[in-house]
Amino acid sequence: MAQVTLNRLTKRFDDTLVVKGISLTVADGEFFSLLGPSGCGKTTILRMIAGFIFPTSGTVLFDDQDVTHVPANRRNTGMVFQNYALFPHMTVFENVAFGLRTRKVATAETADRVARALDLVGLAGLEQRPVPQLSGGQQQRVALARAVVIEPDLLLLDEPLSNLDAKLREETRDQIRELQTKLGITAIYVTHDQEEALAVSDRIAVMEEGECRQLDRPDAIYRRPANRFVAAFMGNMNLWEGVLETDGDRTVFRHESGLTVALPAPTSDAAMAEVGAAPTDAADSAAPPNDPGGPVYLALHPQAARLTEDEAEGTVGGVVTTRRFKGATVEFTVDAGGVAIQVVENAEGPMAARQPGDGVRVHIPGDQAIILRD
Amino acid sequence: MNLYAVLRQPRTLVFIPLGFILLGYIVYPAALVMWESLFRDGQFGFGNYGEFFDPDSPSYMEGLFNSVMVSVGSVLLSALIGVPLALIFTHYEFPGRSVFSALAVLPIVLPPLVGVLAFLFLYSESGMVPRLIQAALGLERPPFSLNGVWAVLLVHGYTMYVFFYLFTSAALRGIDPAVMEAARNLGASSWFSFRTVTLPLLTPAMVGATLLVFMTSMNSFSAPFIFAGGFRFLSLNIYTSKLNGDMAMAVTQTVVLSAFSIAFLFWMRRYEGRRQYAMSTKGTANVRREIRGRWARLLAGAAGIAMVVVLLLPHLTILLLSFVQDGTWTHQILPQVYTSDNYGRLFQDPTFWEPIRNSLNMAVVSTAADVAIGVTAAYLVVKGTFRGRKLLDALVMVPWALPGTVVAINLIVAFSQGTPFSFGQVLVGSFWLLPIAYFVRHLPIVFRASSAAFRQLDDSLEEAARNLGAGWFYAFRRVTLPLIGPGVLAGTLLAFVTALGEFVASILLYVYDNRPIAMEILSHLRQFNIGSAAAYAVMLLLLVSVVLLGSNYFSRGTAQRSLS
Repeated sequence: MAQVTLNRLTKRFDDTLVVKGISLTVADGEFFSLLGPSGCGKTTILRMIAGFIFPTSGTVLFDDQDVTHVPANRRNTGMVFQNYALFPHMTVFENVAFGLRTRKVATAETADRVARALDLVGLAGLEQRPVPQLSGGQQQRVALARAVVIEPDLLLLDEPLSNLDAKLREETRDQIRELQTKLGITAIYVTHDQEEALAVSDRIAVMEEGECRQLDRPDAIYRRPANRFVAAFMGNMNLWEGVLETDGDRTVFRHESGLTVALPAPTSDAAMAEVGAAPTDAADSAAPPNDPGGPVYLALHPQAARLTEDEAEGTVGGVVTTRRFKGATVEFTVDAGGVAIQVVENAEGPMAARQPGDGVRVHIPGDQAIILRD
Repeated sequence: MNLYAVLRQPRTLVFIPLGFILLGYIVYPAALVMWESLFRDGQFGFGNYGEFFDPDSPSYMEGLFNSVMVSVGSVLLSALIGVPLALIFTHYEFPGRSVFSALAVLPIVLPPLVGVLAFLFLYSESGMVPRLIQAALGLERPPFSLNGVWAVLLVHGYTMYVFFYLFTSAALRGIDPAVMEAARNLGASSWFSFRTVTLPLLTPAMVGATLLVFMTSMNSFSAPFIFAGGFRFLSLNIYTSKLNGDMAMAVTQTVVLSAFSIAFLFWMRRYEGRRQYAMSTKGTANVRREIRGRWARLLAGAAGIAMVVVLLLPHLTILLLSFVQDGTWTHQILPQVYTSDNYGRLFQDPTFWEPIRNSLNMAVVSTAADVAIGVTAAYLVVKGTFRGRKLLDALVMVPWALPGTVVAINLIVAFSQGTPFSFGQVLVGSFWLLPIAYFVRHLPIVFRASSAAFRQLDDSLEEAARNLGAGWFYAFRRVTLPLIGPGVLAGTLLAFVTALGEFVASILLYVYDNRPIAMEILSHLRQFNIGSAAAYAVMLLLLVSVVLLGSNYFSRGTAQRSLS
């Protein structure tokens, strides 16, 4: 078991800087995810931790030991590859036993440990199968057993679920987390699927273009994205560009279409605290629409918005343009005079039956809106 | 259904001519040879085989034994050269790597007889290299000279390592690099992962190359013909038996040689099939390790240049000799008198062109027939659903296992009298027997290339075209043809250049009217007209290179177009 520290890690391929000075620490026993779109550098970081490539600058530490230039075969990490990378000419047993052979583990102990590892992933009895005969899900679990049987200090997972179908993906995802918890092993998990990362991780680093845009616990990242990139990447959040205005003692977000959202009193609101400019300044100066702070963005989870019929304060009128039935919920898009608002309603709720073309009002709760400068 | 209705079916229209040709020119000659080997002085029995396997006069057995031993040696030598080269060029990056790796296939443009000649003038007792070394070091005698079985082995190694090189390179490119990384990640050292992962995954490629080298070596004729001296080889023995008029023994040896070749083919095929692995693709890109350090880079560069010199020496030798005035090079180390007369005759002497024209004519005719039969058979075998597909597949591939000498003897035996397949004509002594031999020998080349192309063709593509309103012919022309075209063309051109330089069947079947380039080279050589022989060899080399380069250019162009 180990703690992993990356110190200002950079990697340059030819003329492109793929990883731009990443520093972070993964705690012992933590399940840590690197999340980001393809090309953001997350796999490159994982491969530097595994030792397949070496950083251009910066260091990799396992506990206090500098392993930056230690060859891959002496790092004692267990990796699960995106395409599993099972040895196609070997049986299940031979695949799982491979890492024990390189460690010169005695035959009897090898058999014992392989059996236990296969039991752990629910593949006991398949020892003698050639791997090409296994299903995708079974191959995935062989890869997992092969990675953990060596009792690695660190489990590395490179998009291990991307080749599985949707149903199997969720099941396997939970199995991986369960296994990691049971073994108490530090895990670093690379994925581009935010739902996956949110579901299993202790902490997540959201990556964009070789930089870490936010590092936090899943619920914090989901509730309080630090910037537009993270907000957009976390799912279909409403994200509107506009300006902040003062209206008496209140701050109001104004979209160019005329939509306004009244924000709660600044002092008590954590969302405002995250905004770079102090909210009190905005209030004092009665900032005009093009205040020096420039445009801001309002992010709002579709679950926070509500369809209603009341013309109460904090609501805006619009027309339903699309309706997607999702089982437990219904997703609406409402056009409110030029702004598309995403709303998720409980399928059992009174407004869930609204159809495209229907006029509705949308309640936008200012206290759940997140104001972003970046 | 009456006979007329059966005959009108399109399938019948294809099957009857196909069956007629395969039966007439492949099955019937082979069967007849087998039958004739059972007669000795008009008596039915196993007398011929008794003589062949007679422990008291082992000369025939010796030929078989030597052929097998040389073939095994050729496989080992070729693997020893080809596999490391492929590994180095795939795994390491150093200055000039791409050039060296492209040049490594150079021996393949040397037609069999031409390559052997180059080795003769380079490394034999009177060859330039040993005598230059002798002169340079002031030795009393040449430090080495190449002849007999070692010469044959070396020529085989030089020309056949390319199979191992190409097969291994392709297999290495096919291995998912993530598999190697997985091995490293699990703690394997480079050597351990090479031994336990890379090598087993290369097995199918190795088996394929072994098969090819073994067969080519068993069938090899030119190298033993020039170098063997008193050493016996089975393929050469067949030729001498035929020259001596002992047809009974010639056909018997033919049957033994075919039996060995076919048995080996089937044995290896089974092994090949058992060890084939489907590789999952994707994963990470293959990264070549850069060779760093000044000395290592210098060493890699020097080794690369040395390799290029050795590889190119035969080609350069032939070029040099083509400028030697006939009859002027006798005991000197290097030729003394140079002239362009050998090429001047191209424009003055109309008979100079005849062998070239003959070779071109026969190559065109035989290749056209190969395409007609080979592509049709490939389509039927890959896309057809009728019973007997396997049989058709086997029939077309049989000539691949048959040495050129065997094909020639089969045809001589079959067509020394009129048969229905030749419409009653005696073909021995006519122009046609040699092009037929080319056709039979190179049919598998076109067939294999075409079936590979058809196999890669997704049926749904044609269906998609039809679904979008394309007629059968339009779909074929705009979808099927562009997709199979490059593969079929590559096979066709390979068959064509092989026919251009063909020597083995030619020496048994040629007549004056159709004497091909290879025979003209040989006859000039026998008269010690080294310059003229080399000039023909250069012409042949040029023809082969132009066609192969064109094929390469064309197929690469299509590949790029299909990507964009």
